[in-house]
Amino acid sequence: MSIKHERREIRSQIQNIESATSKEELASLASNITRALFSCAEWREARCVFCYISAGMEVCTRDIVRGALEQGKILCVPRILDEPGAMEAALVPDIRALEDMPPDRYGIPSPQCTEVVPPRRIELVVAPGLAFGMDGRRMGHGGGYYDRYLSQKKFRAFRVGLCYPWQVLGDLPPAAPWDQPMDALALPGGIEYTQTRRLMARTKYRQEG
Amino acid sequence: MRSTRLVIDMNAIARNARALRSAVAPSVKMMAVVKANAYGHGDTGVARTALVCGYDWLAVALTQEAERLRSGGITAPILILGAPDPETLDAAVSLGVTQTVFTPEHVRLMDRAAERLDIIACVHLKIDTGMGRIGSSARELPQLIAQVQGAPRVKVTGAFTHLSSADGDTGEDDAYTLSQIEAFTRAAALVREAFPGAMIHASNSAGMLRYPNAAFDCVRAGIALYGAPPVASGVPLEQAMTWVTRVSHVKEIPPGGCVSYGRTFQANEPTVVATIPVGYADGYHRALSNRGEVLIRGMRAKIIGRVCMDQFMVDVTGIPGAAAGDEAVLMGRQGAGIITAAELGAWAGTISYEMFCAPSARVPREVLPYVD
Repeated sequence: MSIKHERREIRSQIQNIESATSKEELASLASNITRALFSCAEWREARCVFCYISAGMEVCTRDIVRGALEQGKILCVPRILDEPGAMEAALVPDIRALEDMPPDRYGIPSPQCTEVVPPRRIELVVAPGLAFGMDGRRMGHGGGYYDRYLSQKKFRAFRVGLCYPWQVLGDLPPAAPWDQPMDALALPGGIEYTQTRRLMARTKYRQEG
Repeated sequence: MRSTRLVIDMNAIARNARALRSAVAPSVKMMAVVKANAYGHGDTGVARTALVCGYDWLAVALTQEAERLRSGGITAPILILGAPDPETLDAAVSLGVTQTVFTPEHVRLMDRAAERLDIIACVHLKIDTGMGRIGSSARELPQLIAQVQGAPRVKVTGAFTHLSSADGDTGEDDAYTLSQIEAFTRAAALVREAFPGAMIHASNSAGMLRYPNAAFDCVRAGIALYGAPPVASGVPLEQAMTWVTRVSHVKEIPPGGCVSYGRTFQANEPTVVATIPVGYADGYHRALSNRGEVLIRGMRAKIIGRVCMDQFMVDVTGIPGAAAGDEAVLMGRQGAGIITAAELGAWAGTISYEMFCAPSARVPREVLPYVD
């Protein structure tokens, strides 16, 4: 079975569960996932975070991006580039910028002309996914954006995948060489560190504005 | 909750934060001064509000204030404006807070603390250009710089001064401020040369509104953030704090009737007296006795007699229908009326700053959250 076909199978399986779950239940799970993320040491100590803007079936990140700003973190969000599968980290200077973002070609809000944050400055990445494995495997939507972005040489950030419990699968197809693993999964019940967990740099807090 | 409370409107703080942001060149960073529990407004809440409005830095006076922000989950850069306290230095360094230093001894202390904790300690150099409070003089500055250059674990990331008279009204005040700015410009050049990339800042609220050329790399918004303009300016600012309570008792006294301790008020005519359940133990200054005013039903009522520990009385003869249970505003807005912190301060012989800090821990705070 091809990876495309498998992804389609998994997507429909996950979609079925999600559509059978009430909006209230999804919101409450998302808020527990947010709490799990905020409680993890890597989040608390990160001075610069990259977080996706949620759409469709993805775990809602509204409270996460707002929280990042409230906590005084440097926040950047994905901005897709013309080249297929390529994106960059666009700075979100304040909450108003977050609300004024026009939709990109996938209909996802994205900042238009703010500064690009270089990958080496990013200390934590919050990634979406279609499905995850407890070993850190992440299956995306098939665009290759995250695998490509996270594979950059200068990238040392801690990577957290946000997922509903049903997105954690034991029988994900084997990892491809370009697959970029997660260091932890944020689940409604808490943070689960995966086998690829790495230690954060020692410097704890942002010392320059 | 007690019917006496401080209502803090974070939306007003956010509007003030944005108004100040727009009044300063976009390349200049903004530091929100949240010392003294954010001038009584609640430090973590104000810090979060300023940060979502794009503020870059926070400033506090003490290590314990920085600790509160960090334990509130705030990772933003924090500057401790006060001199290093040897007893809390390790805590400050381990919190990754930027400490103000201005003597070679401070640098030695910081270097030792950083070595114990095995991290780099960031500092801002304080330069005294005429405030006469803390800071290195221009003459001492080269020695201070040399000391840091010999301290491997201390990193200078900024330098600043404090303007003593930027809110003054006279030509002399203006000349003094300009001389401070000039002296600081010379000192800042030395710091920049020794520590490229150091963030230079001088302006407080009054400075940023009145001396836009002295913004350097960053300005510190304090009193203006809370809506008490230190100088007249075109920047719209609104007071975020309202001190509200309810009238506990209303009665009429005949001519000759006396009110409160020492009989400092005696009625000349029949007078309707309302009792307000707030006193100096709540931080409502006794100096307001027979001087202050409150708002009831949108109108002003004068304080009669002395302010007691837990209560005081006002004359509501001119306020038709005034009754027990009416809302009384001690500071802030009620309908079209407003008692500003500056006005309340003037009655008590002090300033808006002290009025914001006055309400005691006995007064519960109610926060209206920021919704954009």
